[in-house]
Amino acid sequence: MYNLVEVEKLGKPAVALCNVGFVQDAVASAAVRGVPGLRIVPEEIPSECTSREEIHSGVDRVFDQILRALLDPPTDRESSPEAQGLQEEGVEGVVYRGTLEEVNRYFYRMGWTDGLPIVPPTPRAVEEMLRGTDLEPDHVVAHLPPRMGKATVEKIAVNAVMAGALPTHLPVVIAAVEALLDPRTWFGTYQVSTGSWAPFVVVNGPVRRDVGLNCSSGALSPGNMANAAIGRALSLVIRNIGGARPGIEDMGVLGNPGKWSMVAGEWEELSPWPPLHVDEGLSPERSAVSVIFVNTFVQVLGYGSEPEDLVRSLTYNIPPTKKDATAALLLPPHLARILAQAGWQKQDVVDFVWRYTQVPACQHPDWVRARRLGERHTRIGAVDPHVAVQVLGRKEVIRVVVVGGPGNVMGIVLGGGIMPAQWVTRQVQLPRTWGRLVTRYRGVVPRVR
Amino acid sequence: MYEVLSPVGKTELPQPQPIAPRLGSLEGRVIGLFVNSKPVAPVLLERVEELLRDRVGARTERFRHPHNRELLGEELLAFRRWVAEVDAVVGAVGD
Amino acid sequence: MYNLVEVEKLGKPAVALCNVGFAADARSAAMVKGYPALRVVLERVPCEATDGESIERGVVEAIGEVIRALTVPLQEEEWEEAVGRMAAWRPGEARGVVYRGNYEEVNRYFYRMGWTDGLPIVPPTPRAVEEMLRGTDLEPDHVVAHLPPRMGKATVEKIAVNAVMAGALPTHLPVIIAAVEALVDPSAWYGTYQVSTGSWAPFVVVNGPVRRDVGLNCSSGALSPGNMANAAIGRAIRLVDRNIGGVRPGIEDMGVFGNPGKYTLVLGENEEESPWEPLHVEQGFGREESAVSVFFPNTYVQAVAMGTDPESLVLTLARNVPAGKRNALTAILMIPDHARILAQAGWSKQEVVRRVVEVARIPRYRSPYMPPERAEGLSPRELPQREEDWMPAWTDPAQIRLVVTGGPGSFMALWISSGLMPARWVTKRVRLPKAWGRLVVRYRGIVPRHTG
Repeated sequence: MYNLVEVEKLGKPAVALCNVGFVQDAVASAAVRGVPGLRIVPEEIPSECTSREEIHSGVDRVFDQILRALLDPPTDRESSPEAQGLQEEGVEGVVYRGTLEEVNRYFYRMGWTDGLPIVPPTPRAVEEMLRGTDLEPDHVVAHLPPRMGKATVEKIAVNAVMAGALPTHLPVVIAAVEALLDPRTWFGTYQVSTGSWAPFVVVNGPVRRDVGLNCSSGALSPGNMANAAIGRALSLVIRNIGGARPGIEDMGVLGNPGKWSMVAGEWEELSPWPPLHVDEGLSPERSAVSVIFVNTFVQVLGYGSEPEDLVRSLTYNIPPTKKDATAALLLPPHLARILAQAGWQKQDVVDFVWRYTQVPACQHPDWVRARRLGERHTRIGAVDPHVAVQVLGRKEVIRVVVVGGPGNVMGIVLGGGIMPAQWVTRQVQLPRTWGRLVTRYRGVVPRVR
Repeated sequence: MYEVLSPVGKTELPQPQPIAPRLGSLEGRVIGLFVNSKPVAPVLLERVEELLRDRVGARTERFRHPHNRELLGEELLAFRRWVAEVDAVVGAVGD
Repeated sequence: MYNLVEVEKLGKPAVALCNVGFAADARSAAMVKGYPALRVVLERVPCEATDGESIERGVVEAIGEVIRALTVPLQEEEWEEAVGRMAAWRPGEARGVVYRGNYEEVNRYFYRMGWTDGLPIVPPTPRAVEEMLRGTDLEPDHVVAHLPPRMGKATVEKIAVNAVMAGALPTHLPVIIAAVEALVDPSAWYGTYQVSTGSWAPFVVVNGPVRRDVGLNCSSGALSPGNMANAAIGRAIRLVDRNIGGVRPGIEDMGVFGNPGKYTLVLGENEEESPWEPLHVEQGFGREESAVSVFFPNTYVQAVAMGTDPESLVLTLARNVPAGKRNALTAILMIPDHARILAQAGWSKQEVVRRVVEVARIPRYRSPYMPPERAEGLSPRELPQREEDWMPAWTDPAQIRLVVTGGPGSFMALWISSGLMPARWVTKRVRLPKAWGRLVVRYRGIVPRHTG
């Protein structure tokens, strides 16, 4: 849509031929870019249709509308639009007063929560949250698509309070927002795409221990406040500042529970290898977050405990649909040590998985699509059905992360491959009073251990 | 100010029971090895078997557990018959 | 551990040779059965090691301790310590008010007690719990189930307390109760899945009129955050698991990596837009009844359809099963658009599943080693002799259920459990209170305005 808006801004008529399920989304994004009257012609071709015949007849059915959209002069409303249906959001100051239940229901009705209880973001609570950073409350961390909402430090703090985060979590949340906004994550695309992509966040460095992040058994399960609240805060920032509402801007078809929170610390103390942020060029005593957008999570029992068994369990369990995907290979420390003792480095694991994740061409999505559309050549070449082809085309976007508890299980977290997204790492900036802050909130942990 | 109820379900924990009397010496005794379905258990207990035989002169008998759940019904009866034949049991957990 | 307790009950000495990472888990399991002093000897063999050397080292280190555990009588201080550990292990079972404090204090107290998932809760005051209990005609002290591993008594009232904490509405309570009933059905293998290293999450499909009554999302983003019913029902189930079953992460729940599906994993089938009979009808219930169906997956694969003709849709599902997930209980999530394409080809739900099973094949070498006792009775077709030969990814179509859900787009999805346990899909009817109609009217307005 954004590019069609650009056409209108250059003074030429544009028309969006839009799948009927995405019309609301298209209207919203045209309005955000300042051309609410952009003409949209809904078509009913099934998404990603591979039958030429069906695609052609779908176009035939709406061709008159396309012509009219290009030829008919603009209506009054189209030529002098007011911000139709777009309320001014991001109000400052107190927006509501009420009991806990009333606040929760009001926020839910306004579309500001994820459906679970929030901590009311009172001025006092937000002020406390802001102790987690030395940045000024009105410092703009980023503008978040699709609404290009201004992510000030204060607005991020409001969402962090709602998520149930502590002030010590704030620097991690801010760094994650900065990382997401790096164009290499393709945030703008992934957060609204039909693939239901969730930000997967790996935290490295001393901040993990300072805030009590779980790097061990069940790091990706609920149960730990830091892992839970940091991820949820990020998700609320995307919803409330970016403005990605489910079913309107966020067109994730099936949804993804990873959008609750998918934050893990790397277990650096037990890992035989350099941590992720060090491989990304930071020094070990720095703290950092690394992110990709993911929509697939495979957990598999190891095929044995020899080094080859371990890497084979990874390679045979990457579905071919995840071609060229960004990936995190999760290894618990005791399995990482088996590999390290046999001389494997993180990069050797990556090399093996990249090279040997192969399928017969006929199982590769590009091959099937090409055949359906009657084309001989595909991105993977014009190959016979049983020639082995690599699934993961991009070695540079595969990472090994050491995390998890005892047990012979390996994890594969997979992102997208159609967009050239990459891993992005950002350093966490701690406030000057960090030591005192850590002491203050360190006791907020389950005593049952 | 909130006054709140506990979410924890009542557990009717049994009275704590002391463990069975120990054997004093293992020489000539029959030690049962309880092999669960986890991959390491058979190999691990195989070695335990060798060591018990070589170091303390015990004999061993194995019982193979078909899955990872508490034994019920026929399986449990078979297990009890097996326990009756041995003097003590060693089992592997978490492998 | 339970089977070793059985040995002690029969009056014979038992010793658990336990991997060091599972010590707390083993002791907890022995306590549940009343044997806090059951002797646990720790070994340091890497979990599921297959190299003889590290096993050798681990066993040799531990064997002296094993021999002592079998021969030295129970010491007085050993017994006192064990009994003390058991007494300290049952906090918070009191009836009535257990804590007074402001919102922040309640949240931190509950978190410190290990009673929450780390996110904010609604304080379960007597008034809030009383309101919640309007969602059922069952008596508050009616025992729905005893939940493993602690065999905690899941009374209707305790379930309601956890539902309040999760942020659920009284209209969600009947669905939560039905889900608890489904989980404890032995066919679900709940006791194993909830604590296993595989990080399995209860996946809940809701069918029937109750979906619309409580505003469950059956469409775009059904499994994402955003809808109170989907979010709170699943979270309540998990809090029940934690607080009544007594599953603590890293102690009883040994899930290696964890699973964000354990926040909540609840969706409604989009029956209105589905060309096929709904899941609960397939499971033997009437269309007008409401029901929940559960199983425990740990793997989520989302795949763009490789084409929109019927065969390509089947191929997309069949070709994206991870090879290690052989013979696993599976949910196929299918959007209404794809379901209609398949229905127009004349295929029923069962026919689609049958075709997926027929096409999905993996070479034997890509599948994990199968212990001989599990291979027994499998035909050469199911388990070929040669490693290079192909075998079916599923041997039985009954392992797969197809659920129509989701919004516009072209993604297909698989939620996959394991083939190691003989678990089955379990479906239970949702029992609504007599005043249901009034209750629905009362809470129906609590929806985001952009969906209203």
